[in-house]
Amino acid sequence: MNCENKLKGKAKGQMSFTLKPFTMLMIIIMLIFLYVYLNSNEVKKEEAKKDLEIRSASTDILLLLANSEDCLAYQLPSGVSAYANIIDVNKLEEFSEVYNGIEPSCARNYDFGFRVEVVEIVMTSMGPREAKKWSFGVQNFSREYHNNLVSYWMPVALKYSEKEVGIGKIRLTIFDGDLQKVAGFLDRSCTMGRAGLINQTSQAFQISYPISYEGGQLCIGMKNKACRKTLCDINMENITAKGNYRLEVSFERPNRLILVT
Amino acid sequence: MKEKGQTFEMFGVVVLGVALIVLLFFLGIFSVKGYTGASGELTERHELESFKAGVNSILYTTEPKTGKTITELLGIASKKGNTTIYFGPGVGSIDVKKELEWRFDAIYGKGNWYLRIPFPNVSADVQIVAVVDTSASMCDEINKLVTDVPEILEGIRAKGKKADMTIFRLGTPSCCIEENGKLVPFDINKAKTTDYFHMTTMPQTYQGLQCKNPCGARGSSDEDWGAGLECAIMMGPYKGPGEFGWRENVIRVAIPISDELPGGIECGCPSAISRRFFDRGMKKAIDEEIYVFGFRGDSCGIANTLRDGVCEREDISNYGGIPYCACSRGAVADWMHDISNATGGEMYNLSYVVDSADAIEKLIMSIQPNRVPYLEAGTIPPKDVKNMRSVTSLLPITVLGKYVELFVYNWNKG
Repeated sequence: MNCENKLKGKAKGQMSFTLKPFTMLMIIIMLIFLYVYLNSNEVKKEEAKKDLEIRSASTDILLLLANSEDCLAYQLPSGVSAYANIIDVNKLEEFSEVYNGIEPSCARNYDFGFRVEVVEIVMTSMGPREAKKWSFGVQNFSREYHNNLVSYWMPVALKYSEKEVGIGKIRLTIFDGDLQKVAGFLDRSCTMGRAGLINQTSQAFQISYPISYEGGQLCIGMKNKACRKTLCDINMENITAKGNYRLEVSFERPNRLILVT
Repeated sequence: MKEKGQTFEMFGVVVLGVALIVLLFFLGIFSVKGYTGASGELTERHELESFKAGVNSILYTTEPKTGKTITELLGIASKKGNTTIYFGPGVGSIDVKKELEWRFDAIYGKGNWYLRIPFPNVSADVQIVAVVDTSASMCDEINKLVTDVPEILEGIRAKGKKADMTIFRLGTPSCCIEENGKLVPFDINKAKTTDYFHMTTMPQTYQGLQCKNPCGARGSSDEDWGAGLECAIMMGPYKGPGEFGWRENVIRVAIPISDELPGGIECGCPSAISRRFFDRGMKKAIDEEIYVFGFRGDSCGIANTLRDGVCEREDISNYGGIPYCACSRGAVADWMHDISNATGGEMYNLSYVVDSADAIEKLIMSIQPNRVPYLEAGTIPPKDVKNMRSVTSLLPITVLGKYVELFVYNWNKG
């Protein structure tokens, strides 16, 4: 009887000795799985959030462009109000000259970059055809350096004169990326500096490609660079390696930003 | 017992772990789904707003020849009940439906949209110009017209239908009428005119055109209802002393009243001459979109003529060997029929004297504006279409002080 009990006790001890590490292993595997899953889920969530933000911003920008008298909306000669969705062709001509390479301040979004194209549609003997085109905003954007790109369009009326109103489309291409974020930060600092609101400010960035300031333009990349205009002239040392940076800027009148990393 | 307890302990940990993973998995899916769903909704919202904005933009664009906006053109089309609007010889006709179609096709693509505007019911006023052959054989009909029509017009207006009439007489009738069983000379100048009934003598010429022509040397210019019709249409109804012209947005009617071919000499006139006068009137009526109601008189039987101040009864059926009766029931009836049919009107046979006034009342009451009930453009939406977007707008018809509804639908193919 004693011998039998001893044998049973030994077996139980052996089982406990095997099961406990196994349970531990299972728990560790589950925790690793959970960590990986939660992490990937967070990335997906972040991407979806970014997508939502960029789509939301693009709707806002399009509406501002077509409806604000500070942007392209046709304004009554009395200056009291503007017509919604009716674009003044004179303003369009002006925007395509003044904002060649940079977003217009009336619809500026400091998180994203965008480019706008307006196409006039006319009736010809061959049917309706696209005729004159106007464009403004960031002209050169390389697919390599942006994460999201969304394109939306909207029909608009093009007002040439009181008796001449044509039809056209306004097409907005909006995108994000390191270059647009840094340029947005610099342009915002410049605007606030010009307005005398803030002289110094800083912001943290995670930068994936080298950033430099060349020929009056802010550029990203090593060989195939993508460049864009900024509101102020920039005085900066090039950022040559990827990493986390805190960019500190100070505004100097009349139109210069000193950037320190 | 301890062995079982350990097994259950381990099993419990595994179940707990699996449950936790499943819970987190679903939580993760739903939290991401929240963003992607909002993103999809935002895109759909953008497309809907863009569609609405597009419709408004198209309505605000102008038609190059007239400088009018599509909204204005649609308002005019709704008022007229016609999708083609004539803007005079300088501009010509504008097809509003085509103007809409190319714009919507260019923006939304062929087969991706449908539009409908129900036109309002509009009862248009009627303006009539009548060109009257004043030969003796028409004496009774003229007398009946000038006596009865003013009262008929007043009665019609009392019923809410607005109409006015101007008679262009091609000459001065020299004939007699029966009064109290006696024949007395008919004096047309004693005929009563009202605010809605006027009478005037057709001028010899109007804007360089001969309005009254005889058929050769033997014919009679007071029977040329062909060229007379052309001049009457050009002049339009009486507006005021020395002023003539058609009003806007009315049903325009012209009535030739005669029992002879234009220019006279019943059916013996070289047909080319009479036909030329007739064709002038018909062409003008077609060009100006005038309804012609031919009133064919019947020159068979007795006419009361006035010769040297004396009233005489004469059988004119075959007067002087000329077949008046056969001609009025033959060629005259045919031509009156032709011109009425070609212009959307109707021919009336005036077999009895009272018919002329009765026919005027009948035509005024029955004539309806030539309207289409709605404007429809684009493609009727397919049954299996998904994500259809729609806009309902109000279009002003300024001349009527009314609004009509505009329904527009848009969808994506496939």
